[in-house]
Order: sequence, then C-alpha cells, then structure tokens
Amino acid sequence: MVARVPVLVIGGGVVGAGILRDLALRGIEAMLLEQGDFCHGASGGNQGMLHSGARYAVKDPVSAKECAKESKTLRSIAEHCIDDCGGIFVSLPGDDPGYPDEFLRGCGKAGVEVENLDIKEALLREPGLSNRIEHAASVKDASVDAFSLTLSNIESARNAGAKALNYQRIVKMNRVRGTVEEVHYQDALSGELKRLKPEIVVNAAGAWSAKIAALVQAPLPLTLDKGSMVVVDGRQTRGLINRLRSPADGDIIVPSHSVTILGTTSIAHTDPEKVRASVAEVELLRKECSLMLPTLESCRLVRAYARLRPSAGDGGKGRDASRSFAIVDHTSSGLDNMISLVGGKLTTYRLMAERAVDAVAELLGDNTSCTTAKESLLSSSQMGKAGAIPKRAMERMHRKYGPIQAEVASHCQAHRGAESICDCEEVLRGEISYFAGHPDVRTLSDVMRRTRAGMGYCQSSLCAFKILSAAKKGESDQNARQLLEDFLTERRNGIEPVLEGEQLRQEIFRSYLLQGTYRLERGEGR
Amino acid sequence: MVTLRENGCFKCGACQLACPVVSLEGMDKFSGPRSLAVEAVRFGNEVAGTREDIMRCTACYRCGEVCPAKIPLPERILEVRRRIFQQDLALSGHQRIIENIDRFGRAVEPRQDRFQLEGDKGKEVLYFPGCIGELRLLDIPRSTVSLLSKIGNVSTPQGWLCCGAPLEKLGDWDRVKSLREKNLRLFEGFQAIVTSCPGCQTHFTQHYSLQALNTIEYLYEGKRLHPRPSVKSKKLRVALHQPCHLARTIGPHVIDYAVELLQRTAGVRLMEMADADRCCGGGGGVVAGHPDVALRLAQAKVRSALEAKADLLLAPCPFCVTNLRRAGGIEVKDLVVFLDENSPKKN
Amino acid sequence: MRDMPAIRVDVLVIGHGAAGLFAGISLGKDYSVAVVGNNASATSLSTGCISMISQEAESRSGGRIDLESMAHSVHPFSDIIERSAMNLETLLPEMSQLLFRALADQGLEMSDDLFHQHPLLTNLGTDYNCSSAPAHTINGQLDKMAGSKLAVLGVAGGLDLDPDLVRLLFDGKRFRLRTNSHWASIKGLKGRRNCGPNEIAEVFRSEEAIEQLIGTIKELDEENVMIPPLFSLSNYASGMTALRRKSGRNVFEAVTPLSLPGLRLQGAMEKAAQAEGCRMLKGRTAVELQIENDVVTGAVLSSRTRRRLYHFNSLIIATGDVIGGGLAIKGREIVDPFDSLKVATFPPRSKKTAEPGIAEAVEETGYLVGNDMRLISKNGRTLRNAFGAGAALAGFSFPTGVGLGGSLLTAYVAAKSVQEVN
Repeated sequence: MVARVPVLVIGGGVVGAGILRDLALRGIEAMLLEQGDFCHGASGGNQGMLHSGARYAVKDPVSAKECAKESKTLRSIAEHCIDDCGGIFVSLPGDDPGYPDEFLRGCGKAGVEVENLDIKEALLREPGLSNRIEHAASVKDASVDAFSLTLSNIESARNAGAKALNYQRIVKMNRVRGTVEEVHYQDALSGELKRLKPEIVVNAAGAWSAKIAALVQAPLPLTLDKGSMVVVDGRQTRGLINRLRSPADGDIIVPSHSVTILGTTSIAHTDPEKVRASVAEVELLRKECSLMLPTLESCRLVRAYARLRPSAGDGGKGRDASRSFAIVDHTSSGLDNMISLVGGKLTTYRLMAERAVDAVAELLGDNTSCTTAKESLLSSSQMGKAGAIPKRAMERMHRKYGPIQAEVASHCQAHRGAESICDCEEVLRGEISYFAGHPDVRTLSDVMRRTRAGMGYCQSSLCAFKILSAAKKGESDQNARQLLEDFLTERRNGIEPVLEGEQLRQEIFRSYLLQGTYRLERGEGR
Repeated sequence: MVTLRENGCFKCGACQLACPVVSLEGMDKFSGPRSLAVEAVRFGNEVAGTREDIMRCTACYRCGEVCPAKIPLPERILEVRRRIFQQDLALSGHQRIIENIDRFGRAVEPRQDRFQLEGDKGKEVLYFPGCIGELRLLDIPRSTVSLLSKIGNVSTPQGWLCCGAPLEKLGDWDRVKSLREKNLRLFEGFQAIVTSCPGCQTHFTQHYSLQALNTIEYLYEGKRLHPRPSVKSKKLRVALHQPCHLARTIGPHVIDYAVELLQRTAGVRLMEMADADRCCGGGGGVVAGHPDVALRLAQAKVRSALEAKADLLLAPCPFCVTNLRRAGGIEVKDLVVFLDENSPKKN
Repeated sequence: MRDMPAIRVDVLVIGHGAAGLFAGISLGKDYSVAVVGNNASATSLSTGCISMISQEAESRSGGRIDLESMAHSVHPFSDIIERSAMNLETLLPEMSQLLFRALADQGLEMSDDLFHQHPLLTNLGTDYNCSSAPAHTINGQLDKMAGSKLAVLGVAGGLDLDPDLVRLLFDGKRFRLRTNSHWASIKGLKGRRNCGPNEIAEVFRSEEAIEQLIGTIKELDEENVMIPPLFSLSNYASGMTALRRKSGRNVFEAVTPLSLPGLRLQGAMEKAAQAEGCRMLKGRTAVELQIENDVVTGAVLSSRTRRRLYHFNSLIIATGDVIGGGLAIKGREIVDPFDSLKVATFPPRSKKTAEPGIAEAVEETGYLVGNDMRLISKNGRTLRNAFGAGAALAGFSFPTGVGLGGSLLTAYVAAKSVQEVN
C-alpha cells in the first residue's frame, strides 16, 4: 500500500520549512522532502540579512514594506536566530548625490525606520568605517542564521505532527490527467526507493522548482541569478554596513557569529548543480567592500560560496527583478493539485509561506487561520544548566539550538561531553554526540551545519577526526574513512577562489597533515 | 572588538606547546594563547568571558616566538586585556596595584626602608631603580649603584614614578600613558638610562621609545666590570635562570653576557639547567592575580635548579627573584647582587 | 636597535630545523660553526619520523626504496646526485651512521634500517609509510606484529590518542592485527579534560604516573600496546624502557605530528649540534644577505634590540618552506624573504579553473640550487660559497616528517660541499 499524505512539500529551505510549520500549526497533515540536507539551496548560502527593508526602499517598495513588517515579526518569534546588531547605510564620494534623499523618502513611504546619522556618529558606531564617507543613515537591519531558523521551523512543525525527511530526491511524479497522483523519491545516500500519494503538492524547490514542475509537464518560467559571497575571518564590524546607492555589487557587509560576510554579485546562470564563486567575484567583493571598510583590504578571506536566486519568468533581469514572490498555480497547464512558489527572500519567508498555505487551505476547503506570526519558535526560553560548560559556550548554544538548547547542554554534562572538539567555534563533544544520534544527521557535514564545528578559519583540520570520533559514526573501517573524506571534500568547497596569502599557507599545511601524514584523500570540491 | 589583521594562524599548536602555563595548569584552566589571542576574539563582544582565564598569562613572550606565522600573540593578549579592563573587570589583586599607583606612584606599597640614590650627579647616566628595587629588594639597586659608581656619574631624577609596565599587563592604558608622560619629562637631558629591572627596561624600549640598558649590558658592553669578581669559598655551583623580559624582549645577547660574566668569575661552576628559559611565573601580573599559578611555576623552576645540582639560583630580575623565593628550596639571588658581593671592595 | 661588533665564523648555518642542525652536526667538529634560528621550526611540529621520500616519488618507484632505485629513479635525489660528484652508495651509509650516532647519544632510540619501508600507525588511526623509523616514534613494524593482537591505549583526559577512533579508521584486516581499544586512568590527570601533549608530559615526569601506566598495561592481554606520546626528551629513554621492561609487552608510541616527537627530535638535534661544537644562536633572525660578485660576504642577524654582521667562509641556508617560515607567501607567490635568491614559485593561476593537488604544487616551490647544492642569486648567477639545504629547496618541501630524510640528505651534501671548498 502506498502511503497517502494530504500535503507534500518539496524543498527543505527556509520557505519549505515555514510552509510545513504553518500547515502543521493549522492542523493540516503534511510531509516535507528535501533532496540534500536542509538548506541545500539558497537558504544555505545567503548573506544572512534580516532586512529592515531599507535596501529596497527606492527600487522595490513592495519588498521594502514586506521586509519592514516581517523583520519585526521574526524578532518576536525567532529571537534566538537573530543577532540584532543594527545596520548603517553609507555613501562614498562618487555615489549618486541624489540617492540619500530618495532613500529617506522611500523608507518613510514603506514604513521602514531610518535615522540620519552625522559622520562623527557613524564613525563612533563603526570605528572601522572609511573616513571618506559622505552620508550615513541608521536602520534596523540584523544578522540572521538561516540554518538555525530553518531547523527551528522544522522542529516546530514536527512537534505539531508534521514529517520531514532530508536526503530524499524526487525522481518521478506521475501525472494522471490534471492531478499529480504519485511521487517517487529516492534516498540520496542509501538508494532506497519509496512512493507516496499526495493530495496537494507544494513546490518550494527554489532553483530546482522548474525541474520539479517539468516532471509533471507544467512549465514554470524561471530566471536564475547567481549571487556570490566571501567569508572574512573575525567580526570586523558591530553591525551591518550597506552602501547608500542604487543596489549594485559589493554593497553589503554582514557580521555573523565569528565571521564577516561580504556580498554580493548578480550574474545570470542556468544550471543549479554547478554554482561556484569565481576568483573575479571574490576580488570584486573585497575591493568594493573595502571602500566602505578599509581594514578589509588586509583581512583574511576564509571561503567563498554562491547560490542562485530564482525569480519568476522574465519579470525583469537580475538585480531589477522584484524580490517579492509569486505563488503560481498550474491550472493554466491543466494541473489542479500543485502550486509552486517562486522568488522571495529570507526575511519574508514566513509571509510567503502564509500565502502559500492560504492557497493550499483553499484547495482543501479548510479555513483555519495562520498563527505562525504569533507563536514563538522557542517553546521555552529556559536555558539548560551550565555545570562544567563555559558560559560562552552556553550562550552560543542558545543561538544555534534555540528550543533544543537544554537537551544539547545535558549531553555536554555527560562523560567527556565537555571536551573541546572544534576550537575555532568552541564546539563541545556533547553537542556533536547529541546530533550524531539524530535521524536527520547522516554525514559529518550534517553535524557541522548544526553545530558549526569545522566552520572556523581552519575550515576543519584535525578536528575532522574529533568530529568523527564524537559522532561515533561509520562502525566499519571503510565507512568511517569515507565519511571523513566526504567531509573534507565538502570543506574544500569554496576554498580555491580565496587561496592566497595566509589562507594558502594554511591549505598547504592542511594538505601536509591530511594527505601527507594521514593519507586521506580530498576530492576536488564543488 | 579586536580587528584581526595579521591572522596567519594555521592551527599548528606550537604556541600551546610552548606555553608554560598551559603545560602546568592545563587547557581547562588556561585555554592558551591560540584560544585567547586568536580564536575567542573573533566573536567580537565576548572578551569579558575570558577574564579569569586570560589573567593567568605571565606575558613570557614564548608563544610569539615559536609561532611559524609570526602572529604577535603576546601583544594580542595584552590588547584583549585592555578591552576587558575598559569593561571594568579588574581582579582584586590587581585593584591593589592600581590603588598603590594612585596613592604612591608605585606598584607596591612603600614601607620604612626605601632605596635612595644620594645627590644629583649631573645627567650622564640615569639609574632607574624600579618599584621592587626601591621598596622591596633594596640590595639590587645598592649593588647596581655600587658597581656603576665605580664608573661615573649616576643619578636618579626626583619624583620618578612606576614605569607603567604592571599597568600595561592589567590593561590600564590610561594610567600607562599618564605615568609615561610624567616620567618622560623627568628623563629629559640624560645621556643614558640604565635599569636593573628587565620589566622596566622592556617597557621603556617598547612604549617609551627609549634605548634603555640593563645593568648587565651596561657592565659588559662597556667592559666595566673591573676587577673581576671571584667567589671566596670552594667551587660554587650556580644555575642561571633566563628572565623572559630579557631574553625574549631585549635580546638573547643579554643571556650570553650574563653567562660570560659568570664564567669569568673565579670559583663559579655554571651548571646546565634544563628549561633555563622557561618562565618562573613572576610576570604578567599573575603573582597578584593568581598567586597559586605563579607559585607552581616557581616550584617547577626550583625543581629544575635542584635537578641540575645547583646550590644557588641566579635570576637577573627583581620579579623573578621575588617569585622564585616564594617557592623556597634553594637560595635565590639577583645576578648583579651576586657579582657585587663577590667583587673586591675599594677602601 | 644597536649594532654589535661583527663576528667571523667558518660556517654560518641559517635555520635550526633538521636540515640546518644536521649540517652543523656534520661540520661542527672541524669548523667553527654558528647555527642561527628564530625559535620557530617545522621540525618541531613534524612527526619526528625520518622518511626518505615523498609520496609521489614513492609511488613512482613502486614502493621499493633501496639505494639503487633511489639513485636512479627517485626524484629529486637523482637530480642532486647527478649534479654532484658524489657517490650515493657511500654517501647514504655515511650519513646514516653520523645521524644515528648523534641522535642516539642524545637519548633517542634509532632503528638500524634506514631504507626499508615501514608501515606505521598514526595516533588518529590511519596507517602511514615511513622509510626510516627512528624508534623513538615507533618501535616495531606492523608487518612484524602481523597475526597478533594490538591494544590501543588512550590516557583519560588526553586528546592525543583516541583509541575508539583508531579502531574506526585503522585497516587491521590488511595487516592481520586484531585491535582493541582501552583507556588508562592516571591519578595526576584526574578531572582534566582537554590535555594536550605537554600537559601529559608534565604529568609523566613523575615515577608515580609511569608506574600506574605500567600497572594498566600489565592487565591487558594483548602483546602489542600502542600509546600516545607521553615523554619529553628529558625522560623519553628512561620512560619507554621502563614501560617495556616492566610490562613485558611491545609498547610503542603512535606516530603523531604537532606533538612531543617533533619537539624531541628538535631538542635532540640541537643538543647534538652543540655536542659537535656548534654555537647555537637562537632567538635571532637573518634579515639581510650581503652579496658581491657571486660571493656572499656577510649576513646580518637581528634580535629584538640588536643587530650583528656575521662574516664567514661558507653559508648554508636551511630556513625551511612556508610552514617553517623561511619562504614567504605574497598573494599567490612564493618569495625569498632576503630578496636576493632565485626562487621557483607556483605556476600562474588561471582565474577560471580550480586547482587540485596543492601539496604537490608546493613541493616544487623553493630555492633553486645548482651543482653541489649551491644557491643561485636573484639574477641567475650561481653563488660560490652559499649552499641550500632542506625544505627551503625546490623539490624538497615535504609534509610533516615525510621526507625529513630527504632534507637531511641535502644538508649532508651541502656540508660535504662546504668541506670541499674549505
């Protein structure tokens, strides 16, 4: 007997997770399938901005308004994912002198809080700013951890009865006349094939949504645009810094955990499978961002990454495309039980999910209303007991784990649980062992994404072994070595474009250790 | 927030391996130079959490020396201490030092006995006794002046204040700057500055931009130790501790000089001591902040001296002498005191 | 910064890692030699093993390492040997004799077979081929243990050896070894969690800790026991002897970089150099080379507040690669910090493609040398009295410990060349 499910959500990024949660809180049974680990797509490679909306105030007032409202909402429901460090916009000599006024007007109209800053104030707030800045304005930008946010949504959805599986690839969808009848999916790691029969399919597959729609002969015109980012070691600013000009490349600096992320670019792209940041983009980002923050010229670059922004059809090219989103039903191609989502941004994921679930509810004849804006993702704000755990580590665990922080902390109280595994990010053995037992966690990279072990400036060196040991995975010797090598290959992603100076020396040393002494092979990397 | 421009760290761990506090106390108590100066600071505002931890560093400078990427680790650690201090989090032992500076212009409270250099003999050589020399280990400045006076005009300007080195170690840069300003005015006009305290000399060199000499350099380079000292009794077995604030901040030449001066002293047998350059625990404000740590380091040094079969442990630094004596077990003396005691006296 | 009076020596060696120190050991008896170092050396971070060749060369020679295959087919030795007038067949045994005697005198155990490939176990459980096993890092070879049992014994609180991890990664089937993991509790480490190698070494300075470990080993029923590095140079020989003799087992240390074995090798070589009469000048950096008409006339050494000019008949530069700190990285280029010598650097990078094999590419970077290890100046002239040795040379930048033997060979050849000139 093939399992039935009222709603199937395809795509486990922040939007898919938000949809799953909304459905679950409305009492609608649902299942989510994600092809890789959660946040495989754009949700796993963005700049982590919680937009005040200021950036879109002039060019895209609809987005600006949405961001202003939603960023407030998210602050109240997902406090643990948000580093509320504020932001400033600064202009440099040569920037459009008329823009600051347009900017302030646009913010006013869109309900985006903004405050003019004089240069002295701006420099006090951000001592690293260039002293050539001409205008400055303060906004309520913040830094958000998209992965933590996505997992918190999934956790909340599961608590309300929903199901979610990672590492499941959709291989076939059977369409019978106007209905998607059966979905075949395959475990990406074990190869096991499964089937299910959904009543409604929600296609939240981001850059892959056209491919999904194509499985049921439903055209979904999609424009793919690549955005690259560069990770700088260390927090170099107190808050976000944006360029006060019409949006262009290299405009944004975002502090996040122990790093600073420079972004971004906008390049037309076609294939969602091969997305890499190029050397040219890295150089451009460093150069442009250094104009605002000169110390960046000599800072250490640790990694570069890129993802695709999908936007609807031919609705404008790249940067000019509206960041607002579209809910597409496929009735025009005769399909009556699938809706697709296109576009959107991290900050407005909840709103996008709400609209999508409204559409699903209508199809199901259900009129329960959305409560995701009111119910907090933190079921309890109580932090676990510290014991032998350093206070700093407890704080960081709250940010990473939110609702499950207390459970993770208790693992760190167990035997050897407070041993240090990743020194860069101060990750303890108990954190690793907690996730190692989790059914979602099947590779060492999955452990890394959840705990941040291996995400420091060394991009995992000997700590890879410690992670393997704490995770106790791979009982047979073949498997353990493979897990390690796969992890080291993943860590190699995004290293090439920044391979120079201090990072190059580190990579040489790592090669010496891992390949030279320990005879571990590392693949090409993405 | 400490901006990390020179961060060439590639996780080799050489600094952790070289750190004397890590090896004695363990990384659970002292997370070590890499953690304090490189890893933890990347998070921005969390330096406050490192207070207890970071005050165990003795500022021995070994970490910076062994780092293959030449990261200025010791300077970074002191920079982090500066940030912590700005958040008003000084340890109680350190509060006392600050009070003493404010009340007496000295790192330690004055007692009845004070070293004073008589008379103003012009501005040829400025002799700077330092707080410990003036107020606690008076034999050091007395011996120094006795040896230097054979040479020429030595004087100490009236109204001198603590050089500021202990404040730098606490992170109190306001006081470091005000002490420096006042002292520099008094130092004007002197042709040379000599001090018997490596801490003072290091501070003058690094933060006053002065070329100060320590007594050993002054005696050796000027060929001024005449006639040669000689030990009266039998072969005296002596071990030489190498102060961190000489070997690693002024230069290894000072140790070479000290060794030669000892080798030229008749009756002295210089014993080969293991870990002669390992920190004794006397620096970095650890004696005031974490006296138990300083004591354990001193005890380890005394063990090394005893294993080398020495009868006497010489340490050319008042902070080293003070801390090593706390460990007991062997006679400890400043090198210049030893040389003066064994120099023939002119009648 | 004050200048000190200039000094003259017969030979100045810049670099106090394995290569520089071995050059000193080779020359110290007959010449006045000063060895300079800035206290950072990659040797002290290495595995302490002396292995003769790189991975690539090893696979090219089909895994066979003997005099013949080394001389004729194994890059880069063949280059050196061809360009010099030297005979590898006499050179290698001579060199190994000197090396073994010097290190054994300082308390390291040395096995007597420099050329045979030994598979070794690393502390993280992989196996690792080393062509010479100075026994202070491992005693016994895996093939000798074949068919028997192996206990992997970690010390509770210590991070250096995780027996469970070794069991996960070690391919015991290939070597026919049945492996079990165990933990030893040592009183001196009670309550400690994150102990690195030197904390462990401090604890194992005491007889009590050693006796406790012996007791634990005696309770095991495996014949072979793998332990983490526990001893610094001061009590390595006595400690390991006690462990083996009193427990009656084949006790050996796991191979591990970034730990005690590298520090021990460094310490032993420094002492050996001093025993041969070399003057150790630590805490100094060479900042300038003075070159006139293809002859290096002097080198300026600097330390904190002093500078000094050194004159010499011959100069050996053994400053190491980018890890050791001798060569510098500027952007993506390898550069000579003296700005005086010719350097092979990375090939120019294409902006579009990724580049695999960074380790292989690095091996080829470094100072270029002509016949008899003579260094070449920036403008292409072969210097008459300056020689290169070790990982600083193009073709010799080997990973941590793999290839230390190669470094030592280059140092020995450089020393021989110095002898021929003087």
